[in-house]
Amino acid sequence: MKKLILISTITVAFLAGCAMNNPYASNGVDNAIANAQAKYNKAHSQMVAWKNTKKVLEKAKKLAKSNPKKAIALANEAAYEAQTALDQSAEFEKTWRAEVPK
Amino acid sequence: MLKKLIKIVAISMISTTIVFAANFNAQAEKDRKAFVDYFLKKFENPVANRDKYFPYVPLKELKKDYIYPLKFQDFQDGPLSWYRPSKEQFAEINDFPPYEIPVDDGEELFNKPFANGKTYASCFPNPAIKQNYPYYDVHRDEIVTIGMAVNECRVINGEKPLKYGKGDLAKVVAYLAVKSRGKKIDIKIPNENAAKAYEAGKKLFYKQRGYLAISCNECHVKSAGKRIRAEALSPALGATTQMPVYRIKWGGLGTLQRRLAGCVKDTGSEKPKMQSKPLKELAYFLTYMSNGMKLFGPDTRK
Ligand code: HEC
Repeated sequence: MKKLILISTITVAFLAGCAMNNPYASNGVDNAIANAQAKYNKAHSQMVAWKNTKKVLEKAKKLAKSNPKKAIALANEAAYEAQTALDQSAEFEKTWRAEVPK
Repeated sequence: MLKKLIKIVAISMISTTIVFAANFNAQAEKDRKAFVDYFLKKFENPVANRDKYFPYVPLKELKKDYIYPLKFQDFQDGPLSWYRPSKEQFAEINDFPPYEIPVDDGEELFNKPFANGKTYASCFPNPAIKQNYPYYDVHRDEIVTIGMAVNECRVINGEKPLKYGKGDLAKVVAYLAVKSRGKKIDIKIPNENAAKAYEAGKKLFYKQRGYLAISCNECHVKSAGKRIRAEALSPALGATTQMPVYRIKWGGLGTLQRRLAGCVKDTGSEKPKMQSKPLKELAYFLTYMSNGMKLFGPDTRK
Protein backbone atom coordinates (compact mmCIF):
# COMPACT_ATOMS: atom_id res chain seq x y z
CA MET A 1 0.00 0.00 0.00
CA LYS A 2 2.74 2.36 1.02
CA LYS A 3 4.47 1.55 -2.20
CA LEU A 4 1.35 2.32 -4.17
CA ILE A 5 0.96 5.69 -2.48
CA LEU A 6 4.56 6.47 -3.18
CA ILE A 7 4.23 5.54 -6.83
CA SER A 8 1.05 7.50 -7.29
CA THR A 9 2.53 10.52 -5.52
CA ILE A 10 5.51 10.38 -7.82
CA THR A 11 3.28 10.01 -10.85
CA VAL A 12 1.08 12.91 -9.83
CA ALA A 13 4.12 15.03 -9.08
CA PHE A 14 5.61 14.07 -12.40
CA LEU A 15 2.45 14.93 -14.33
CA ALA A 16 2.06 18.18 -12.45
CA GLY A 17 5.65 18.94 -13.23
CA CYS A 18 5.08 18.37 -16.92
CA ALA A 19 2.06 20.59 -16.93
CA MET A 20 3.94 23.26 -15.05
CA ASN A 21 6.87 23.21 -17.42
CA ASN A 22 4.53 24.56 -19.99
CA PRO A 23 1.78 26.55 -18.35
CA TYR A 24 -0.13 26.74 -21.64
CA ALA A 25 -0.34 22.97 -22.13
CA SER A 26 -3.74 21.42 -22.41
CA ASN A 27 -4.90 17.86 -22.77
CA GLY A 28 -6.61 16.09 -25.59
CA VAL A 29 -5.48 16.61 -29.11
CA ASP A 30 -8.50 18.66 -30.20
CA ASN A 31 -8.26 20.91 -27.17
CA ALA A 32 -4.56 21.36 -27.63
CA ILE A 33 -4.93 22.30 -31.27
CA ALA A 34 -7.88 24.63 -30.66
CA ASN A 35 -5.97 26.32 -27.86
CA ALA A 36 -2.87 26.77 -30.01
CA GLN A 37 -4.92 28.01 -32.94
CA ALA A 38 -6.66 30.66 -30.83
CA LYS A 39 -3.39 31.92 -29.39
CA TYR A 40 -1.70 31.90 -32.76
CA ASN A 41 -4.61 33.79 -34.36
CA LYS A 42 -4.31 36.45 -31.71
CA ALA A 43 -0.54 36.83 -32.13
CA HIS A 44 -0.89 36.82 -35.91
CA SER A 45 -3.59 39.48 -35.93
CA GLN A 46 -1.36 41.71 -33.80
CA MET A 47 1.48 40.99 -36.24
CA VAL A 48 3.76 39.66 -33.52
CA ALA A 49 3.70 35.91 -34.27
CA TRP A 50 7.08 34.22 -34.43
CA LYS A 51 8.55 32.83 -37.58
CA ASN A 52 7.86 29.11 -37.16
CA THR A 53 4.77 28.98 -34.96
CA LYS A 54 2.34 28.45 -37.82
CA LYS A 55 4.48 25.66 -39.24
CA VAL A 56 4.52 23.84 -35.89
CA LEU A 57 0.78 24.23 -35.56
CA GLU A 58 0.15 22.92 -39.08
CA LYS A 59 2.30 19.91 -38.34
CA ALA A 60 0.32 19.25 -35.17
CA LYS A 61 -2.91 19.29 -37.19
CA LYS A 62 -1.47 16.87 -39.70
CA LEU A 63 -0.48 14.39 -36.98
CA ALA A 64 -3.70 14.74 -34.96
CA LYS A 65 -5.06 11.36 -36.12
CA SER A 66 -1.94 9.33 -36.76
CA ASN A 67 0.11 10.43 -33.75
CA PRO A 68 -1.98 12.33 -31.19
CA LYS A 69 0.74 12.28 -28.56
CA LYS A 70 3.19 14.03 -30.85
CA ALA A 71 0.42 16.29 -32.12
CA ILE A 72 -0.36 17.44 -28.57
CA ALA A 73 3.29 18.15 -27.90
CA LEU A 74 3.57 20.19 -31.07
CA ALA A 75 0.32 22.06 -30.45
CA ASN A 76 1.47 22.90 -26.96
CA GLU A 77 4.75 24.14 -28.31
CA ALA A 78 2.92 26.38 -30.79
CA ALA A 79 0.63 27.64 -28.03
CA TYR A 80 3.63 28.40 -25.87
CA GLU A 81 5.37 30.33 -28.63
CA ALA A 82 2.25 32.31 -29.50
CA GLN A 83 1.58 33.19 -25.88
CA THR A 84 5.20 34.20 -25.31
CA ALA A 85 5.04 36.41 -28.39
CA LEU A 86 1.92 38.10 -27.00
CA ASP A 87 3.45 38.54 -23.54
CA GLN A 88 6.66 39.88 -25.01
CA SER A 89 4.72 42.32 -27.16
CA ALA A 90 2.78 43.60 -24.14
CA GLU A 91 6.05 44.03 -22.26
CA PHE A 92 7.84 45.94 -25.04
CA GLU A 93 4.74 48.06 -25.53
CA LYS A 94 5.68 49.77 -22.26
CA THR A 95 9.26 50.53 -23.21
CA TRP A 96 9.70 51.10 -26.92
CA ARG A 97 9.03 54.83 -26.87
CA ALA A 98 12.11 55.37 -24.75
CA GLU A 99 14.15 54.08 -27.71
CA VAL A 100 13.14 56.87 -30.08
CA PRO A 101 15.97 59.43 -30.43
CA LYS A 102 14.97 62.71 -28.79
CA MET B 1 -25.09 90.98 -40.55
CA LEU B 2 -25.69 87.43 -41.71
CA LYS B 3 -23.18 87.87 -44.49
CA LYS B 4 -20.61 89.07 -41.99
CA LEU B 5 -21.27 86.10 -39.73
CA ILE B 6 -20.88 83.66 -42.58
CA LYS B 7 -17.64 85.36 -43.53
CA ILE B 8 -16.29 85.10 -39.99
CA VAL B 9 -17.27 81.45 -39.69
CA ALA B 10 -15.77 80.69 -43.07
CA ILE B 11 -12.51 82.44 -42.23
CA SER B 12 -12.20 80.73 -38.89
CA MET B 13 -12.94 77.35 -40.48
CA ILE B 14 -10.28 77.88 -43.10
CA SER B 15 -7.74 79.03 -40.57
CA THR B 16 -8.40 76.09 -38.25
CA THR B 17 -7.93 73.69 -41.16
CA ILE B 18 -4.66 75.38 -41.95
CA VAL B 19 -3.54 75.13 -38.35
CA PHE B 20 -4.51 71.46 -38.20
CA ALA B 21 -2.96 70.71 -41.56
CA ALA B 22 0.28 72.14 -40.32
CA ASN B 23 0.02 70.03 -37.21
CA PHE B 24 -0.40 66.51 -38.51
CA ASN B 25 3.31 66.14 -39.10
CA ALA B 26 4.45 68.00 -35.97
CA GLN B 27 5.47 64.84 -34.10
CA ALA B 28 7.00 63.30 -37.22
CA GLU B 29 9.10 66.41 -37.84
CA LYS B 30 10.32 66.36 -34.26
CA ASP B 31 11.25 62.70 -34.65
CA ARG B 32 12.92 63.27 -37.98
CA LYS B 33 15.10 66.11 -36.77
CA ALA B 34 16.32 64.14 -33.77
CA PHE B 35 16.91 61.13 -36.03
CA VAL B 36 19.00 63.07 -38.55
CA ASP B 37 20.87 64.75 -35.73
CA TYR B 38 21.74 61.40 -34.14
CA PHE B 39 23.30 60.10 -37.36
CA LEU B 40 25.15 63.32 -38.19
CA LYS B 41 26.74 63.34 -34.73
CA LYS B 42 27.49 59.64 -34.76
CA PHE B 43 29.33 59.83 -38.06
CA GLU B 44 30.92 63.22 -37.62
CA ASN B 45 34.07 61.79 -36.16
CA PRO B 46 33.94 58.15 -35.04
CA VAL B 47 37.59 58.29 -33.95
CA ALA B 48 37.19 61.26 -31.62
CA ASN B 49 33.77 60.07 -30.40
CA ARG B 50 34.71 56.46 -30.06
CA ASP B 51 33.76 56.25 -26.36
CA LYS B 52 30.27 57.41 -27.06
CA TYR B 53 29.38 55.53 -30.24
CA PHE B 54 31.91 52.83 -31.07
CA PRO B 55 33.56 51.67 -27.84
CA TYR B 56 34.08 48.12 -29.09
CA VAL B 57 35.42 48.90 -32.53
CA PRO B 58 39.24 48.72 -32.62
CA LEU B 59 40.77 52.16 -33.04
CA LYS B 60 42.86 50.93 -35.93
CA GLU B 61 39.74 49.89 -37.81
CA LEU B 62 37.98 53.18 -37.09
CA LYS B 63 40.93 55.07 -38.53
CA LYS B 64 41.47 52.85 -41.54
CA ASP B 65 38.02 51.71 -42.64
CA TYR B 66 35.59 54.42 -41.59
CA ILE B 67 34.60 57.19 -43.96
CA TYR B 68 33.84 60.44 -42.14
CA PRO B 69 32.53 63.03 -41.59
CA LEU B 70 29.28 62.03 -43.27
CA LYS B 71 27.06 64.86 -44.44
CA PHE B 72 23.28 64.55 -44.78
CA GLN B 73 23.26 63.41 -48.41
CA ASP B 74 26.15 60.96 -47.86
CA PHE B 75 23.72 58.63 -46.10
CA GLN B 76 22.21 57.82 -49.48
CA ASP B 77 24.79 55.05 -49.81
CA GLY B 78 23.37 52.85 -47.05
CA PRO B 79 25.91 50.32 -45.81
CA LEU B 80 28.47 51.76 -48.24
CA SER B 81 28.20 55.25 -46.80
CA TRP B 82 30.59 54.66 -43.92
CA TYR B 83 32.48 51.43 -44.61
CA ARG B 84 35.37 51.99 -46.97
CA PRO B 85 36.10 48.36 -47.94
CA SER B 86 32.46 47.87 -49.06
CA LYS B 87 32.40 51.20 -50.82
CA GLU B 88 35.51 50.36 -52.81
CA GLN B 89 34.31 46.88 -53.63
CA PHE B 90 30.97 48.12 -54.88
CA ALA B 91 32.47 51.02 -56.80
CA GLU B 92 34.30 48.36 -58.79
CA ILE B 93 31.19 46.23 -59.27
CA ASN B 94 29.31 49.32 -60.43
CA ASP B 95 31.78 49.89 -63.26
CA PHE B 96 29.31 47.67 -65.06
CA PRO B 97 26.24 48.06 -62.86
CA PRO B 98 24.31 44.81 -62.66
CA TYR B 99 21.06 46.79 -62.43
CA GLU B 100 21.55 48.33 -65.85
CA ILE B 101 19.95 45.52 -67.86
CA PRO B 102 16.90 45.26 -65.56
CA VAL B 103 16.47 49.05 -65.80
CA ASP B 104 16.57 48.81 -69.61
CA ASP B 105 13.96 46.06 -69.39
CA GLY B 106 11.92 48.38 -67.18
CA GLU B 107 12.08 51.14 -69.76
CA GLU B 108 10.94 48.74 -72.46
CA LEU B 109 8.03 47.56 -70.31
CA PHE B 110 7.15 51.15 -69.55
CA ASN B 111 6.88 52.04 -73.22
CA LYS B 112 5.35 48.81 -74.49
CA PRO B 113 1.64 49.28 -75.28
CA PHE B 114 -0.89 47.30 -73.26
CA ALA B 115 -3.54 45.34 -75.20
CA ASN B 116 -5.66 48.52 -75.30
CA GLY B 117 -2.86 50.44 -76.98
CA LYS B 118 -2.07 52.67 -74.02
CA THR B 119 1.17 52.53 -72.01
CA TYR B 120 2.22 53.21 -68.42
CA ALA B 121 2.73 56.79 -69.55
CA SER B 122 -1.07 57.16 -69.52
CA CYS B 123 -0.84 56.90 -65.72
CA PHE B 124 2.61 58.44 -65.27
CA PRO B 125 2.90 61.22 -67.84
CA ASN B 126 5.83 62.44 -65.77
CA PRO B 127 7.76 59.40 -64.54
CA ALA B 128 9.89 61.44 -62.10
CA ILE B 129 7.53 60.79 -59.21
CA LYS B 130 9.21 58.31 -56.89
CA GLN B 131 10.07 61.05 -54.37
CA ASN B 132 6.38 61.26 -53.44
CA TYR B 133 5.93 57.56 -52.65
CA PRO B 134 4.65 56.05 -50.49
CA TYR B 135 1.96 58.68 -49.97
CA TYR B 136 -1.17 58.77 -47.86
CA ASP B 137 -4.23 58.94 -50.08
CA VAL B 138 -6.86 60.81 -48.08
CA HIS B 139 -9.73 59.78 -50.32
CA ARG B 140 -8.93 56.10 -50.18
CA ASP B 141 -7.77 56.43 -46.59
CA GLU B 142 -4.71 54.27 -47.11
CA ILE B 143 -1.02 54.36 -47.99
CA VAL B 144 -0.31 53.99 -51.69
CA THR B 145 3.10 52.61 -52.63
CA ILE B 146 4.78 52.97 -55.98
CA GLY B 147 4.33 49.24 -56.61
CA MET B 148 0.59 49.60 -56.03
CA ALA B 149 0.48 52.57 -58.40
CA VAL B 150 2.17 50.49 -61.12
CA ASN B 151 -0.26 47.61 -60.67
CA GLU B 152 -3.30 49.86 -60.51
CA CYS B 153 -2.20 51.38 -63.80
CA ARG B 154 -2.16 47.90 -65.30
CA VAL B 155 -5.57 46.98 -63.94
CA ILE B 156 -7.34 50.12 -65.18
CA ASN B 157 -5.86 49.34 -68.58
CA GLY B 158 -7.22 45.82 -68.53
CA GLU B 159 -3.96 44.03 -67.69
CA LYS B 160 -3.29 41.54 -64.90
CA PRO B 161 -1.40 42.91 -61.88
CA LEU B 162 2.23 41.84 -61.48
CA LYS B 163 3.70 39.95 -58.55
CA TYR B 164 5.05 42.37 -55.95
CA GLY B 165 8.63 42.65 -54.72
CA LYS B 166 10.64 41.52 -57.71
CA GLY B 167 10.54 40.63 -61.40
CA ASP B 168 8.82 42.89 -63.91
CA LEU B 169 7.25 45.04 -61.23
CA ALA B 170 10.65 45.82 -59.70
CA LYS B 171 11.98 46.57 -63.19
CA VAL B 172 9.29 49.16 -63.89
CA VAL B 173 9.85 50.68 -60.44
CA ALA B 174 13.60 50.75 -61.15
CA TYR B 175 12.95 52.67 -64.35
CA LEU B 176 10.79 55.17 -62.44
CA ALA B 177 13.61 55.38 -59.86
CA VAL B 178 16.16 56.28 -62.52
CA LYS B 179 13.82 58.94 -63.89
CA SER B 180 13.42 60.31 -60.34
CA ARG B 181 17.14 60.51 -59.57
CA GLY B 182 18.09 63.76 -57.92
CA LYS B 183 14.55 64.51 -56.74
CA LYS B 184 14.23 65.12 -53.02
CA ILE B 185 12.11 62.73 -50.98
CA ASP B 186 8.93 64.55 -50.04
CA ILE B 187 6.59 62.50 -47.86
CA LYS B 188 3.60 64.30 -46.42
CA ILE B 189 1.29 63.58 -43.51
CA PRO B 190 -1.96 65.10 -44.68
CA ASN B 191 -4.45 64.14 -41.95
CA GLU B 192 -4.95 62.42 -38.66
CA ASN B 193 -5.18 58.91 -40.10
CA ALA B 194 -1.93 59.50 -41.94
CA ALA B 195 -0.35 60.55 -38.65
CA LYS B 196 -1.67 57.32 -37.12
CA ALA B 197 -0.17 55.30 -39.95
CA TYR B 198 3.15 57.04 -39.38
CA GLU B 199 3.00 56.21 -35.67
CA ALA B 200 2.20 52.57 -36.43
CA GLY B 201 5.24 52.38 -38.71
CA LYS B 202 7.39 54.04 -36.10
CA LYS B 203 6.32 51.48 -33.52
CA LEU B 204 7.16 48.66 -35.88
CA PHE B 205 10.60 50.15 -36.27
CA TYR B 206 11.40 50.70 -32.60
CA LYS B 207 9.57 47.91 -30.79
CA GLN B 208 11.46 44.68 -30.28
CA ARG B 209 9.88 41.63 -31.85
CA GLY B 210 10.30 38.01 -32.87
CA TYR B 211 12.05 35.26 -30.97
CA LEU B 212 15.21 37.31 -31.08
CA ALA B 213 13.37 40.13 -29.31
CA ILE B 214 15.19 42.65 -31.46
CA SER B 215 14.11 45.79 -33.30
CA CYS B 216 15.08 47.55 -36.52
CA ASN B 217 16.36 50.31 -34.26
CA GLU B 218 18.82 47.93 -32.62
CA CYS B 219 20.60 47.15 -35.88
CA HIS B 220 20.02 50.23 -38.05
CA VAL B 221 20.27 53.05 -35.49
CA LYS B 222 22.14 51.94 -32.40
CA SER B 223 24.41 49.49 -34.23
CA ALA B 224 24.55 51.35 -37.54
CA GLY B 225 28.21 51.74 -38.34
CA LYS B 226 29.16 48.41 -36.85
CA ARG B 227 29.76 45.16 -38.55
CA ILE B 228 27.77 42.00 -38.03
CA ARG B 229 29.58 39.01 -39.49
CA ALA B 230 30.49 40.06 -43.03
CA GLU B 231 27.90 42.83 -43.20
CA ALA B 232 28.32 46.54 -42.56
CA LEU B 233 25.12 47.69 -40.84
CA SER B 234 23.47 50.52 -42.73
CA PRO B 235 22.12 53.64 -41.03
CA ALA B 236 18.34 53.84 -41.26
CA LEU B 237 18.76 57.42 -42.45
CA GLY B 238 18.80 57.27 -46.24
CA ALA B 239 17.71 53.62 -46.23
CA THR B 240 15.09 54.15 -48.92
CA THR B 241 16.98 56.45 -51.30
CA GLN B 242 18.54 53.72 -53.45
CA MET B 243 15.57 51.41 -53.80
CA PRO B 244 14.94 49.19 -55.60
CA VAL B 245 18.32 47.49 -55.31
CA TYR B 246 20.00 44.79 -57.31
CA ARG B 247 21.13 42.24 -54.76
CA ILE B 248 23.78 39.74 -55.65
CA LYS B 249 22.16 37.32 -53.19
CA TRP B 250 18.85 37.64 -55.05
CA GLY B 251 20.44 37.63 -58.49
CA GLY B 252 18.03 40.40 -59.41
CA LEU B 253 16.14 43.46 -58.34
CA GLY B 254 14.08 43.73 -55.20
CA THR B 255 11.83 46.52 -53.99
CA LEU B 256 11.94 48.27 -50.64
CA GLN B 257 9.14 46.05 -49.40
CA ARG B 258 11.00 42.91 -50.31
CA ARG B 259 13.97 44.10 -48.26
CA LEU B 260 11.81 45.18 -45.34
CA ALA B 261 9.91 41.88 -45.27
CA GLY B 262 13.24 40.02 -45.17
CA CYS B 263 14.49 42.14 -42.29
CA VAL B 264 11.25 41.64 -40.33
CA LYS B 265 11.68 37.89 -40.76
CA ASP B 266 15.27 38.14 -39.57
CA THR B 267 14.03 39.27 -36.16
CA GLY B 268 12.42 35.83 -35.83
CA SER B 269 8.96 37.07 -36.79
CA GLU B 270 6.48 35.86 -39.32
CA LYS B 271 7.25 37.37 -42.69
CA PRO B 272 4.65 40.04 -43.49
CA LYS B 273 2.87 39.95 -46.84
CA MET B 274 3.83 42.38 -49.58
CA GLN B 275 1.66 45.51 -49.49
CA SER B 276 0.17 44.48 -46.14
CA LYS B 277 -0.84 47.40 -43.95
CA PRO B 278 2.03 47.05 -41.44
CA LEU B 279 4.66 46.76 -44.15
CA LYS B 280 3.33 49.87 -45.88
CA GLU B 281 3.29 51.73 -42.57
CA LEU B 282 6.90 50.74 -41.93
CA ALA B 283 7.88 51.98 -45.40
CA TYR B 284 5.93 55.22 -44.84
CA PHE B 285 7.74 55.91 -41.56
CA LEU B 286 11.16 54.96 -42.87
CA THR B 287 10.82 57.05 -46.02
CA TYR B 288 9.58 60.02 -44.01
CA MET B 289 12.77 59.85 -41.94
CA SER B 290 14.76 60.54 -45.14
CA ASN B 291 12.66 63.51 -46.23
CA GLY B 292 14.73 66.07 -48.10
CA MET B 293 17.30 63.54 -49.26
CA LYS B 294 17.90 63.14 -52.98
CA LEU B 295 16.96 59.88 -54.62
CA PHE B 296 19.62 57.98 -56.50
CA GLY B 297 18.29 54.46 -57.01
CA PRO B 298 18.73 51.81 -58.05
CA ASP B 299 22.00 50.60 -56.58
CA THR B 300 23.84 47.32 -56.03
CA ARG B 301 24.01 45.39 -52.77
CA LYS B 302 25.42 42.14 -51.46
C1 HEC C 1 20.04 41.65 -36.67
C2 HEC C 1 20.21 42.90 -37.29
C3 HEC C 1 19.10 43.47 -38.17
C4 HEC C 1 17.82 43.78 -37.79
C5 HEC C 1 17.16 43.56 -36.44
C6 HEC C 1 17.23 44.41 -38.94
N1 HEC C 1 18.10 44.45 -39.98
FE1 HEC C 1 17.84 45.45 -41.74
N2 HEC C 1 19.63 44.75 -42.38
C7 HEC C 1 20.53 44.00 -41.63
C8 HEC C 1 21.68 43.68 -42.43
C9 HEC C 1 22.88 42.88 -41.96
C10 HEC C 1 21.46 44.26 -43.70
C11 HEC C 1 22.41 44.24 -44.89
C12 HEC C 1 23.47 45.29 -44.69
C13 HEC C 1 22.88 46.63 -44.53
O1 HEC C 1 22.44 47.24 -45.51
O2 HEC C 1 22.76 47.09 -43.37
C14 HEC C 1 20.18 44.95 -43.62
C15 HEC C 1 19.62 45.71 -44.65
C16 HEC C 1 18.52 46.50 -44.53
C17 HEC C 1 18.05 47.45 -45.52
C18 HEC C 1 18.70 47.74 -46.85
C19 HEC C 1 19.60 48.94 -46.77
C20 HEC C 1 20.36 49.20 -48.04
O3 HEC C 1 20.78 50.36 -48.21
O4 HEC C 1 20.54 48.33 -48.86
C21 HEC C 1 16.92 48.02 -45.03
C22 HEC C 1 16.07 49.07 -45.70
C23 HEC C 1 16.68 47.43 -43.72
N3 HEC C 1 17.65 46.52 -43.45
C24 HEC C 1 15.61 47.74 -42.90
C25 HEC C 1 15.33 47.08 -41.70
C26 HEC C 1 14.11 47.26 -40.96
C27 HEC C 1 12.98 48.20 -41.32
C28 HEC C 1 14.19 46.42 -39.88
C29 HEC C 1 13.14 46.13 -38.81
C30 HEC C 1 12.02 45.36 -39.26
C31 HEC C 1 15.48 45.78 -39.93
N4 HEC C 1 16.13 46.17 -41.06
C32 HEC C 1 15.95 44.90 -38.96
C33 HEC C 1 20.37 43.65 -40.31
C34 HEC C 1 19.25 43.85 -39.55
